[in-house]
Amino acid sequence: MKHKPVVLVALSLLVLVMVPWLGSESISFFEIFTPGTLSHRIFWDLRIPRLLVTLSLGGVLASIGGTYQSLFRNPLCEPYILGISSAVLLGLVVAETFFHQKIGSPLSLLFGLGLALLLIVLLMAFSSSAKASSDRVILFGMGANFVLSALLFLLLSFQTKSVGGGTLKWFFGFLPWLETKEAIEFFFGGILFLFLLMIFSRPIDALRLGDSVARTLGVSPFVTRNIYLVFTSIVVAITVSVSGTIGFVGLVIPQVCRIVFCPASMRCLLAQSFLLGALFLSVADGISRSIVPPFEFPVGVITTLLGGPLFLLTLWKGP
Amino acid sequence: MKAPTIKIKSLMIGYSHESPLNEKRWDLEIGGGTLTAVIGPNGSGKTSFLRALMGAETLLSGEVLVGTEAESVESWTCKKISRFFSYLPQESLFDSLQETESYLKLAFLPRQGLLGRLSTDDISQFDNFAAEFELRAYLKKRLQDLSSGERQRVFLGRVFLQPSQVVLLDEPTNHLDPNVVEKTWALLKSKKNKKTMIVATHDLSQVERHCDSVIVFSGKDLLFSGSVSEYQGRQIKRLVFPLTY
Repeated sequence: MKHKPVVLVALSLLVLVMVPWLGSESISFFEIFTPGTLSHRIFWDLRIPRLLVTLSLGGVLASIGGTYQSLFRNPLCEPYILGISSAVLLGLVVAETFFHQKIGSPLSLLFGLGLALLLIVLLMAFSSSAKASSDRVILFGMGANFVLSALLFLLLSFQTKSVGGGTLKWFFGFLPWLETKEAIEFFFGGILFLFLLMIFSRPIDALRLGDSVARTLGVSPFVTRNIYLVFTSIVVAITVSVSGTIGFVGLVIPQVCRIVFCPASMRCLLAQSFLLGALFLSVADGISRSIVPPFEFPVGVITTLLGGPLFLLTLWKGP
Repeated sequence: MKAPTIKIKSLMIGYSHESPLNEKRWDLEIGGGTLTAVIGPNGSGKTSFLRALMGAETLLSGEVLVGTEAESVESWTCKKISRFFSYLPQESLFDSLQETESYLKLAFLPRQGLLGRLSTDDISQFDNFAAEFELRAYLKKRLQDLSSGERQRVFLGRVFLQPSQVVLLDEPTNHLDPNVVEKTWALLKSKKNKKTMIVATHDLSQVERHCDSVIVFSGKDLLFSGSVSEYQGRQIKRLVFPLTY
């Protein structure tokens, strides 16, 4: 058991070294250091930015999942399950359909965020009502998710011309090809997000003991939960506007971390989830691009096919 | 420092202002450094009462004054609550995958800074406490791998490890075997004086043997509040629980 960190580091290095070589075009190791060659361009202008985005995205998704699970004291909690991601997506699609806003533009983000916050207000109102337990909050979120997804499908069937190539990929989740500069910004944005979450994560540890105990530990459950939900929703809105709804990483990675690493605090859980989420999504992306090149499978499908059995196995064999 | 006295003035408790649990307002006083039992049938308001004492939403109206503090608890910030109160709920919520040690160390959270580092004092206090409370064997185990008795001991440990002045325990001996129940009460008795302890419980015989005073709720009323000897003398027990002997 002492070797876990070593294994994790070795695994990370392996992934970082392997993934940029996967893809439809095979590139030569020597040419990537020679400017002007095709391999050089593919490697530095496409695959490295893509890897940076993927690492950041995977890490952010997993650490948000870990945060939600602790905030709501339920291992099922995650923006996707609670309908937050769908709310953002619906907002984005509404902005695109009716106001001709490109997905990812500031105004469309505002639509997405607005709808997500609306859902969060509903969730909080429900969870402070007398009949709420954490299970029922999840059910409420799942119900909301169904309604929002139905609305999304309705909207999409009106604009069938873009289905397939257009809006549909947002459902499955995909990874974008970003410019190098954007990718670097995205990468460091993810790291910054992780650090902010980690620095202010102590109150979440208290929430895991229940709201009434949290108060006697000096933590206001209401204030803490709201601050974290609003803060993370903003980030959820950004991730959805970049990659659609990738559902699986946030649900499974933190849970696997808790089972395997037994983190001593929320802070450890966040760091572990970020790292493992980043690696996991990168591997899934590598696979999605190399099964039938040049076709790219939606990465959400690969994460589920890859992570699902792994998750079930951990549940079955774990403590 | 002496454990604080708690003065309760015209208290109404419950979950909504339309239907409070008590009909008449309650006035009572809980002595500093005493072990006080709160007894009464299920649903008579024991839990609501404990939670009202620390200013939770079950305090509908009235005042709870702790020690020399001028303000009633409902206007306190959570930070201030954490300096005075530690609380064991009837059913403790916990993360079953968490290790006992990190669970226990949450007791220090109120005085930790942003980074959550423990001072060397806190660490040595923790080690002493774990030894005294016989928790050393559990520290590296996950909470789910402890028996329910062991786990309850860990929960109690967290409550006493927290540097508070008032300890509120809601049926702390539920699910425990008779030996452990006895040990728990002995432990509570050994910890009083330094802390004002208020325990909601159904362990009637232990109440008579270990507690200093008793508060009795029956249905919608405060039936009795006074010393254990008076409680025994007036045979209060038969009034609330007529089927027990």
